[in-house]
Amino acid sequence: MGALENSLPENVLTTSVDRLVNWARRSSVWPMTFGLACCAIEMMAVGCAHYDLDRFGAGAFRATPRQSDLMIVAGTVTFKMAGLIQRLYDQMPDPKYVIAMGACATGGGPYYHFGYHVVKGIDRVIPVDVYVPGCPPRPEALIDGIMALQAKIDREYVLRKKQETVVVGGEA
Amino acid sequence: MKRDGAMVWLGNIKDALWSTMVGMGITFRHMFKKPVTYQYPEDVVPVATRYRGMHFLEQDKCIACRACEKACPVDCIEIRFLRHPGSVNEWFEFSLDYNKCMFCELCCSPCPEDCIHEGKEFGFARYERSELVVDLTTWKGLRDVDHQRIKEAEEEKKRKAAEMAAKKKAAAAKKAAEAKKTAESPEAKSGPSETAKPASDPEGSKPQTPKPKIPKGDAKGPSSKKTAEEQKPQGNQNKGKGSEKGKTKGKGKKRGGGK
Amino acid sequence: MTVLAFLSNGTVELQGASGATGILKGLAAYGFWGYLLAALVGFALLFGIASALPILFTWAERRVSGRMQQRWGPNRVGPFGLIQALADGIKLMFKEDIIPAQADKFLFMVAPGIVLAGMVSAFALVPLSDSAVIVDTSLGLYLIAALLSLEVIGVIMAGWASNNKWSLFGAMREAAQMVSYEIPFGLCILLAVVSYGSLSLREMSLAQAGGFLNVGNWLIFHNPFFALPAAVVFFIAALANTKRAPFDLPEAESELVSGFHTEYSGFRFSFFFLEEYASMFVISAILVSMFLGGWNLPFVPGSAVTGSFGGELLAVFTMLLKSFVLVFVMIWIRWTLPRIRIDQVMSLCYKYLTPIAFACLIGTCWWELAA
Repeated sequence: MGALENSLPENVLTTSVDRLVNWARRSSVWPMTFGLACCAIEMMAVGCAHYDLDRFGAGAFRATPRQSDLMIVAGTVTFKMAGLIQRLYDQMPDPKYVIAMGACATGGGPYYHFGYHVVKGIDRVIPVDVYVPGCPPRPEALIDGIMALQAKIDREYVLRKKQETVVVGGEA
Repeated sequence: MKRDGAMVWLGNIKDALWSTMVGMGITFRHMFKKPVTYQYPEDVVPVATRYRGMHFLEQDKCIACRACEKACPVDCIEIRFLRHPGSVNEWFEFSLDYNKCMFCELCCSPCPEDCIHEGKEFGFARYERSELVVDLTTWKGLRDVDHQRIKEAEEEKKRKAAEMAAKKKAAAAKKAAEAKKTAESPEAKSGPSETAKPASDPEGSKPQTPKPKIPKGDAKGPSSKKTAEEQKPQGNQNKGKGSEKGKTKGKGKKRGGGK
Repeated sequence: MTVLAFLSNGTVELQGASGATGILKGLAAYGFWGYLLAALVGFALLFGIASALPILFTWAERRVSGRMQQRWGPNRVGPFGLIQALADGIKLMFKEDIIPAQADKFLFMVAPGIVLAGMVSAFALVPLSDSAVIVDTSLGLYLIAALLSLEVIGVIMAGWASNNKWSLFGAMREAAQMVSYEIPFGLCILLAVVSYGSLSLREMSLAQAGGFLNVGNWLIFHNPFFALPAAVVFFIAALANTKRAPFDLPEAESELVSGFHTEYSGFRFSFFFLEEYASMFVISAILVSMFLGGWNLPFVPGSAVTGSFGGELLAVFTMLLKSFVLVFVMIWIRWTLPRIRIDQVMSLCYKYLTPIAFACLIGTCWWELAA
């Protein structure tokens, strides 16, 4: 949106546009084809027939970061991989969202104490929108995470000026 | 059949067309099958009977022995409490860090009181990382209510102890009385009218207790039965307690579920 | 895009004078401004169709692929997920538009436009019925083949300008594939031209009216030994031309990240997206016009009424239905066959399709002489 973004007052037009854009964004969250470890297997299961992420319009896994909206960090983030994840994140166009899936990605997981090679949480590298714990999380838990992300997108400000609001988090 | 020359070429065309048609037939047939999808938020996906999900704690049972904390391979459990000897432990924290937890269930097996469990719930998405550290206790620090509760619990305990003592006393007195009675009765009834020992209940057989020697053994029968009867209501009390615990268990489950 | 439509209007002599063409021609009589207005109206109409059909096709693609894998596909956005593609489109419009720092900025910005312009212009030449054709020229097929080939230029520009090795690889593959498959593609077009003695798709459709059960004059039944294999060859070549699976090598995810549009984001990417689905329809419509009887409804003799509004509507409906069936087959093939290797693609073209197309062409010449 460029110059117009977050610069207009709140009125009928801007709220309508915001609602439309937020609806479009929440309805087609295209994830990136990107998996790091065992959680990626569950992520694939989410795309398959039993759970079918495509129902939410989020099943179009794009191969390139340029066309994806969502990065599901699924698995153990090693220090060697962290830089690459950061680069991939930087390559994604705004608005971009990140789901940290599994214990390793949210906070180091089983490697928290003795994992000399593991980043203790991907939020030390890139900003995370939704955390999904589990080792690995069930596919339903990831769907829960994506629904939580959709709820978050619904509250976004596109044209309107950002309001100073206290975000009551926690409800999936 | 071995192909050569132009036959290879034609055979390749035949193979390509045939295999494509077979494949397309398969996909076409699958189009009309019923989808196997669980539409997740509406449909409930069955989980395995031994599925290891989010924890819940039966706090009333917990004796704060820290066995689970020690057993945890990733040190995700943190217990902070104050022990009041002879009273209920004062809880500050029984926190579980789902940033680290890998749901191995190693915390559940060493528990001597069998009070920490892994449930069937999994949906647990959060917007903040700190929200993933979940306190499993139902008391968070000590508020006035908690003091009241501890006091009440102590009173209850005292009352129960007193009750128990009274009951014991009563039971002992009764027993003594019974013993006395049974000791007396054979003397009264011992005599010529001896009949065969019936298989009927000892109460019924009481009037016709046979030989003077045997009655002792017979006398034990009814008395022991009576003590059992005495204990019965006590057992019921225990059961009542159990059900109360069940309630708290449910509460703990709810928390553990984190919804 | 307007310029292209303008050029095609200006340089090629207009033949028919009825329907939309007539209106545009009438406007053109008012001099330059009338001509410009005609071009703009035509462009708006074309762009509307060219972007409405992909919305339908992407929805169909995702639903059909879902059902073929025994899942539902999009069903949360609107009834049966019908406005899913609309949401995708709006989202892509409001995404950040990234131009890489090292890219050739001008070519990078122009490339999606060229790709889409060729496709939208090709729409103008597809006759949906006798009068529902925007531009009806005597060189219709020739022009369509030329406009479809224009896409290659855009793709190579995109691949080169992105300054990304995967993009360049994808563009090179696209070029190799398109240039190769132009040969059987062109030979099959030539076969139809030999059969009808015309390059106009409208005249081809008219020529296929009547016959046994109103299907006897369809080219594949009129000339079954040569036209039927030629139609299959044309369809396979069309799959390769539109970069559909199993020929989607230019955007092979497993090898080249996303092929020539790796660096494209936002609405520039949506242009490539639209182009792919629009070209599916155009190619299907050409195939229907050439081999499958055009707008003639099968099994209803005498239904090819021209002139009356109802007859025209029926013709448009028939044409759309036939094209949609072919589009469905394209989707069906995509979700059945795995992607084939580049050497297999080439050998399929040069060792199989081209000889078959040649044989069919020669056979058709003989058939037409004998008939």
